[in-house]
Amino acid sequence: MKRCLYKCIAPLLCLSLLTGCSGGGIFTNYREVEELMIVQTMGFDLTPSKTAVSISGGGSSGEAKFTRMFTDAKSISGAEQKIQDYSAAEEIFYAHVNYIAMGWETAKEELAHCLDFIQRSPQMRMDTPLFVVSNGTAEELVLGSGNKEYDATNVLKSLERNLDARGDCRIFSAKEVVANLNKNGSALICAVKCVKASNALEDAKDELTALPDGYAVIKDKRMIGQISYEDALAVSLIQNEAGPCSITARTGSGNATVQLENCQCKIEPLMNGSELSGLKFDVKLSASLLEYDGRLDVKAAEASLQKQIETRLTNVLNMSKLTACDFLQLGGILEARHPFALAGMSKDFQTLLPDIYYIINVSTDINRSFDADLEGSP
Amino acid sequence: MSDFNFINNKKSSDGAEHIQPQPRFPEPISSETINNIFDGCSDFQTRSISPGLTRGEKIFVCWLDGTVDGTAVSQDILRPLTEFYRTGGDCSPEHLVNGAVYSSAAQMRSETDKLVSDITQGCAAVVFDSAKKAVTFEVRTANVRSITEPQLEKSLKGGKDGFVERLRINTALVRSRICNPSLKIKSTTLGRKSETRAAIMYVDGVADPAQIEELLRRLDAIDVDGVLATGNLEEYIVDHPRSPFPQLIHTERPDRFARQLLNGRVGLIVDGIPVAFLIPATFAEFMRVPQDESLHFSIASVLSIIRWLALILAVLLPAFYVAVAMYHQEMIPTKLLMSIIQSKKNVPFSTALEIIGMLISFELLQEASLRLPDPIAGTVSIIGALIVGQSAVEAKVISPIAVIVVAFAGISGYAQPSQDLGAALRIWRFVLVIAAVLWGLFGVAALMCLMVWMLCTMDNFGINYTSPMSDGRPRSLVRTFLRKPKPKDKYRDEELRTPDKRRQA
Repeated sequence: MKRCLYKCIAPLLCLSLLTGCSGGGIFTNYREVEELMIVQTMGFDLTPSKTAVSISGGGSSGEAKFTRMFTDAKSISGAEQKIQDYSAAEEIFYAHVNYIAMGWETAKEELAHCLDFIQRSPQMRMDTPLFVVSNGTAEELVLGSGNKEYDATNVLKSLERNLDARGDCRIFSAKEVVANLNKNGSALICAVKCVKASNALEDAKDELTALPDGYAVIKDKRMIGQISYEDALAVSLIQNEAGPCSITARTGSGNATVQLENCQCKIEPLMNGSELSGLKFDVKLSASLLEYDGRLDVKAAEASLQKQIETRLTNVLNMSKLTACDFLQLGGILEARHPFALAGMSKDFQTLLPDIYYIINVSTDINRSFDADLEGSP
Repeated sequence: MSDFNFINNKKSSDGAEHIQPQPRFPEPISSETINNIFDGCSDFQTRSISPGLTRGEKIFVCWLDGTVDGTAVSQDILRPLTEFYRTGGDCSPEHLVNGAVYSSAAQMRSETDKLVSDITQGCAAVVFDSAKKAVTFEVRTANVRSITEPQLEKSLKGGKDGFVERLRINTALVRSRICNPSLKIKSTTLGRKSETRAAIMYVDGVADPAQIEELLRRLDAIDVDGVLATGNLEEYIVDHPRSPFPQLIHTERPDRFARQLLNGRVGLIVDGIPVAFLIPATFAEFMRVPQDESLHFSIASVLSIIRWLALILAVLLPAFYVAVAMYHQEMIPTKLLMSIIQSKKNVPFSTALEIIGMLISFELLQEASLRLPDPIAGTVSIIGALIVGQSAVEAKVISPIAVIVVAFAGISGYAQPSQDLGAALRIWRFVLVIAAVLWGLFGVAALMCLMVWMLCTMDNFGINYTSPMSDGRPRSLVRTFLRKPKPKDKYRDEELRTPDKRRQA
């Protein structure tokens, strides 16, 4: 009897997995893959009066053509619907959106709307990297990038790969941006600028390409400023995520270009009683020599590199201080590394930020590399 | 020559009495009775002789032509028999049994049933009408297939001999590996008409006595006309005959059979079937191959893991592909999805139809190859797989990805050591694909839960089918997938409940 009961209950429990499929629930998901148009890059240009959405996708290798579409409507969903209506045979599929770009004005005024849509959409992924187009609209990037053989997705993929390899500028995903905004109301989004590919590519005609342009600084879901691409390295240094990027340092009689090998940044809280009064940054860099011109003076190169890094760090920290915006997530870093130091403070880090001072110590070490004979060099 | 339990007092499983009267031949032994019984059997040979040319004294010698060796009958029975009586020997069955003839195995028979059974099993009988007794001599013909290398279970480093159709040769092959009187052989007959001899083999003190008794009981309950194929037997003695999963371990290798006996399993060999059976069977046992024992433990373990992965692929790959291609496209990596889209452009059939059609075609090709002689089977495979497959892809009737998925699942199925398990998985593969078509990954998950539940509830001779995986001990789980170094493998498999737990000091 007991066994018989189990035999009845167990299949029912298994079938309970299918309760969501009742009433044809699963069949609304049914679609044949060959009828899909895979959107890989999406651009949002939102103003209070108009919502423009641009997409690029389809295509891959071989005969497939890239599809680029643009429309405006009262809402993003409305624009999506309109795009679907314009699409002749294929179903526009947004679950594979790999990159989302936003126009400069959108980032300033309507970022909250964009982020809200990304979070709510059942198809969008939260780990999609976000970009802000610093010198125009997302439409320009999405529709103007590439040609018949490649599109904005390839351009942004290439950019992502290059930045990952160099480690001088990070690309933040929607998930990270939302998490940072929720944590302290500020975040960074990778900024890109659209330039004509013909500047460097001989075969290129009018197509655009994207170059890194630092970070868009977000506070309270609005863009309040920008960190230049040069200073973007300071963000990576503070977050101990700097990669093997190259820096050119002035040596007096010439230039020395070095590649970063190892970067460490220690942040120490400076306390005044139980209150945080300042932060001390100890940055240690080691780099290897890539090229030089003129007479190489390693000491001078190290001093120059040290000064450059100090300047970049100061610029970024000052911006954080002036805007009272902890986009560097310093509060989080301190909380993780010195939990007891911050425990007794009367104010939170964000409030203290305009009043705290910084001490920045940078030590650099340029190594000989590639068997270069530095002593005997001209 | 052993006494087989041919007097059939069996009851059917529902307890009804056997309708065959016992004894079958109640008449006393006589030449007339024997002649009547074998009337119409053209291979039944008789000879009436007067031993020592004594007038009035006649004995009756009979045998079935082809089953006995004619030379042995003449040289070992008739000739010494005649000479014995010429020298004035007493013409009685007792004298014959006590050594008047040269045959190594002689049995006195006073019941007609036993006599008839001996004759049908390949004995020559000397019938004494006056004494109403007979003496049977084992003079079976030597015309049997020679011992050859197993066809299905090949081994690089193991023994090259395989079981043949003769029961006694097979028991001898096992005996040659376990040269110890603790190897016990219990004999029985199966099949009302065929009277097939069967031997239950086990190592005394190692095998669980309860399992031996249970096997004997189940064999005794079989009441069929004949046991001529493995299926005739298997479905009668397993616990869950409706389950497609194999519940008896089959082997055609005496070394594997002997090793399993030493491990605590109980063996069954049936005359006429060149495959031996072992009980109890567990799912994990079907994933092992004899080759593992000959390989280094690390290599054997890696191969074992690959086989388990192949099992997962064989069962789930087509269903998973159908589910993600039809319902869950977001799960496919973008580049792969683009490739799939490209490959499916202009294909007129839906993903579901493609995969189900390909699976059916695959089964058809397999069946066609099995039924044909080897050279033609090869041609059919080439035509089917290469020409038809390639042409279908080029004609955009099916997509290359569907061919890849089905072929990969098929190859993974062939990686299974047990063909029976592979066949069961093929059935489940179809069921899972249909579930995927209907309910996507939710359906696949539900069906998988159901399958695992069914396997977990299956008992096999008192042992859970999913042991040792379901024992709840991490060590047992590891033992399922990996092989220990032999010096460290001191204990027999726990799930077999062997009285003697240790296999080495």
